[in-house]
Amino acid sequence: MGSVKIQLFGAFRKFGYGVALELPLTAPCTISVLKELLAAHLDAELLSESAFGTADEIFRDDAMISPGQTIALLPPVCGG
Amino acid sequence: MITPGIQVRVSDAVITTEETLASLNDPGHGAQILFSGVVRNSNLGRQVNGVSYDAFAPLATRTLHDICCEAQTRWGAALQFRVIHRTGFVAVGEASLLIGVSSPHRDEAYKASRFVIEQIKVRAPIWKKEHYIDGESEWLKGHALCSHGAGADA
Repeated sequence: MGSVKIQLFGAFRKFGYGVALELPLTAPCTISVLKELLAAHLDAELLSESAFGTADEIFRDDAMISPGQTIALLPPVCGG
Repeated sequence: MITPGIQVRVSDAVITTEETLASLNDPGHGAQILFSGVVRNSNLGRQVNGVSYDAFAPLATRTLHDICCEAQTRWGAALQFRVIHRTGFVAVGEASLLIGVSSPHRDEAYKASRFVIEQIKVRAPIWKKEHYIDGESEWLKGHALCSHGAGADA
């Protein structure tokens, strides 16, 4: 079975520091669907305000994710 | 991701203003602005010891670079930018962020510097956890990154 790896940052670090969550995924799905799948495992309210991305881009909610990908879960930001 | 005049870094190393100023060295520039974001000792009525900064470094570095490129587009390709953001624990009084801008004249330097810090606060994938003198700590709330359609990658 395939899976997608999800790197955690900021407030999501409480669910695992320095490791990636691995969510079973058998077929490509949108970011919106991925959020629904993750809601049972993470802080659902924070998740609803968060985005996903890679080193190069932030995904739209309708972007497709495929098994085998590693992506970052990005809660609301507050740099500076 | 190399653009003339732009150097950005996300690092756990202590920031030195001397290094940043020394690297802004265009003899045709008559203005240098150095903005330093410093950890203060209180927030929302709570006494603060320091702040731990977390970052998705590769995307944060790209975002800092993109912001500087946008500033060059708005205020001139001649402008030089140096942006350094700390990660890890930063004690009260230490700099968490340094923005150096060099330009031919002061007006665009002030405007570009302000633009860069305001954009960093809402776009750079960086997070901070405040540590309080009572031993507690808390991740601060922030700005949601846009993921809802056109401009999602802006």
